[in-house]
Amino acid sequence: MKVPVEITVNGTRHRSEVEPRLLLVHYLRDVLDLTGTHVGCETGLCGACTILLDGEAVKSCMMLAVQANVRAVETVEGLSVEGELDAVQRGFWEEHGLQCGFCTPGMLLSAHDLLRRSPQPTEEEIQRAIHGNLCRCTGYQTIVKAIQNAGDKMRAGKPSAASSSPSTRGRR
Amino acid sequence: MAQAKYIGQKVLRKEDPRLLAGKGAYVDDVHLPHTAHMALLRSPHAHARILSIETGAAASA
Ligand code: FES
Ligand code: FES
Repeated sequence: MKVPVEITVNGTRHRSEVEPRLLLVHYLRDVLDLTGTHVGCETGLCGACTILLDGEAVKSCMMLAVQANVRAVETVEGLSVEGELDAVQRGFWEEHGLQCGFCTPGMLLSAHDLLRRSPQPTEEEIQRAIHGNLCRCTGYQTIVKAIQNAGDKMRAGKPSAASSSPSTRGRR
Repeated sequence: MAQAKYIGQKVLRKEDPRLLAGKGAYVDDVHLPHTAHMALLRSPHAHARILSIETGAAASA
């Protein structure tokens, strides 16, 4: 038996009929073909599937699609504005906050959730905010710097283009 | 000495914009037509002869 759902994803409203057991992450990846949201563990451990649900970071493998009915989801695909990377994406680019990139979509959305609540987070706050996101490549230090860089850009209002000059502040 | 173009400079990785936008293509993201899926069925018997395997349900899935 399928049930109707209406979920707004990255600003677009989608109506679908889904099985009640369908996980939100599989709805995003398989029904909407938004494969930027990754499945690392499917057990709530890795954070690769992190999305924003009504603005708050949640692990989309820990929810059913039907639980997102009439709610708003943001995924990594919705971050860029007209093909331009946003402040958080640029911060990760400039500070080498990614290597293979598998954990990155989840990291970006956890970072968004944090920076919305706390525009100038301390290193400790950042560590706490991403403690549900595992990264097997970077060793986390560059991710912490990336999120600080992103916070700086957001507070400065108009972020500088990553292509011009990567930040050279003394936080390294 | 002229300023070196790369040595001592920060270099932005070319592959990052794609990965940061969720446009990486990892194995789980690739769907090829006619992909076969497999499951292992282990014998519950330590020492026995396989007389037949019923594959009808799997084949029609
Ligand atoms: S896939 Fe959801 S936490 Fe790992
Ligand atoms: S960049 Fe590879 S897992 Fe984080």
